Amino acid sequence: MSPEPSSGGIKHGFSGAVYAKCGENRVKVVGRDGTTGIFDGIGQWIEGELYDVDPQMCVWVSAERIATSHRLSKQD
Amino acid sequence: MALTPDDLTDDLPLQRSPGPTWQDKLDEDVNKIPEYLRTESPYLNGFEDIPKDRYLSREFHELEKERLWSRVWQFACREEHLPEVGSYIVYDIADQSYLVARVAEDEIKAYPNACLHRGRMLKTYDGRCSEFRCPFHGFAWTLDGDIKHIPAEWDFPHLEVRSEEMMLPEVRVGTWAGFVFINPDPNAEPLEDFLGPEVIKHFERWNLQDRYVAAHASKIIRCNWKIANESFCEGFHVNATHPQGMSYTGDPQSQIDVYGNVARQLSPKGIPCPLLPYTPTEEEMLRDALDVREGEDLPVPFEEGDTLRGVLSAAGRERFRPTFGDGVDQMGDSEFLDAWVYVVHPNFQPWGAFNRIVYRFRPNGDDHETCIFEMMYVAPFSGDRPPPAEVVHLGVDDPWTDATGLEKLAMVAEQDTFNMEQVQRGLKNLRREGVTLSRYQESTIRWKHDLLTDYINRGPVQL
Ligand code: FES
Ligand SMILES: [Fe+2]
Repeated sequence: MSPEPSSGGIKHGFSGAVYAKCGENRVKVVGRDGTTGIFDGIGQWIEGELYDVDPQMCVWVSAERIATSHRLSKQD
Repeated sequence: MALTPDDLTDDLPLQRSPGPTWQDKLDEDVNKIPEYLRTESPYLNGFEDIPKDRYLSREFHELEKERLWSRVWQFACREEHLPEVGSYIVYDIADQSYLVARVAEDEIKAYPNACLHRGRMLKTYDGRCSEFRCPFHGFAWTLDGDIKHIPAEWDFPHLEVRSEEMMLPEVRVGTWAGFVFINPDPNAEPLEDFLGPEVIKHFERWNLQDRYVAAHASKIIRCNWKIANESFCEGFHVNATHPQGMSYTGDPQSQIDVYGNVARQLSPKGIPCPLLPYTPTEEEMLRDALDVREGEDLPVPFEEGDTLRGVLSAAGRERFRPTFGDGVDQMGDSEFLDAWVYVVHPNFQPWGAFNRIVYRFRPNGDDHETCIFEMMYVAPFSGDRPPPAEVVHLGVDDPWTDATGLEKLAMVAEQDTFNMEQVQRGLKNLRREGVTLSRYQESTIRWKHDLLTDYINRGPVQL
């Protein structure tokens, strides 16, 4: 399925599905059984044979990714 | 054995999450925290639902105005927002507005924000001045609140004989840990008594007064202020709201303590959520904690035998050494990595230790269905005090990630905010009278509502 992920994925702890951003406001989800789906940034289904999705994971993955981590950033 | 309704008393033994507790993790840490930071003080008070009207009804908002905001100690600004004599800020809460000003080197005063002539707001934005002069007809007051100038005084003979009426009325002010509080109730207990000795002692070692506002963002949200506030009063939501955080955040293992008007929730890092169907490795936990995704490398060294707690506490200690000094060596590992969420009644969350996070939740003006949610970082500094960060004002549909100073926390806040408006809307559809709470993990929310009930039951404030 197109489009291809634009960043590395994150595996969901419960379902085992892998979520990856694939362009603006789009998230590609690959289920544990290999089925895939494309969803928007709040988990609305766009295309694919996968329908079940965790909207919060879509919020996380589609958010603008800020590099500086509040757990690591330098104080200056 | 099955429970019966008669079993539902506070004597029912308190159950805690399976798996290790925060206290167990503290025992394993190399650098320990002092015992007084570990005291446990759980809160149990029945199993009643919280009436949904508290979030939805205009009447309850009016009661809050009359009986809560008019008599509670509330965070107005940081002392650093008032750097010079004459610096002032406008603090708004619901339909009330106060001027908070530095009137002398070591004195801060607060006044209701209204001209005593015909009532115009004296100030509508923050600034610095040598007197409070009303833009309408020009009445002016000294910083201390004495009447200084009445234009065409010959036309106000009555004010000459009633001059005491022309003093700006004062509102109580208190300061703690660099935070300035006001309380409109002249009979309020002192701020120190309100906060209580335990909490004051806890914060002494973190020197929040010697920090500066390094980032500050504010966002309008379409929900009652308590819905936004309560989103940060329990860790139970992590399993669904922050699924990416489950592997390394033991939120169900959080410890919840209540000390009078302040509660705290201590959420350990480096314990997987026990709801997970597998056990992540230490490296997997660390990767998730730092949002390292498939195909990416860890940004910190990690060797065989290392733990998330060891790596993150060491990184935290070195990160704060240049600004906090070698005092970091006296601090426990937990202080650099666990979530130390302190919840001050009714709407203020100054996190402890080195989390740096500060949250505040207020009604959005006089609207009970929208609120203002603010996030700040208060960070240590070395050398001259840096000026506090300007506030980034986000509209209802702007993402938190537009406020880049919040770092990755902005991404976390996106997930929390994703729920808030939907709770406000969902409550209108709810075919139950109230919302129900877990006994321990959501006990801070019960405590908040119990305190709110106390304030409401005290009736209107006697001025
Ligand atoms: S599971 Fe808590 S609001 Fe739905
Ligand atoms: Fe959250």
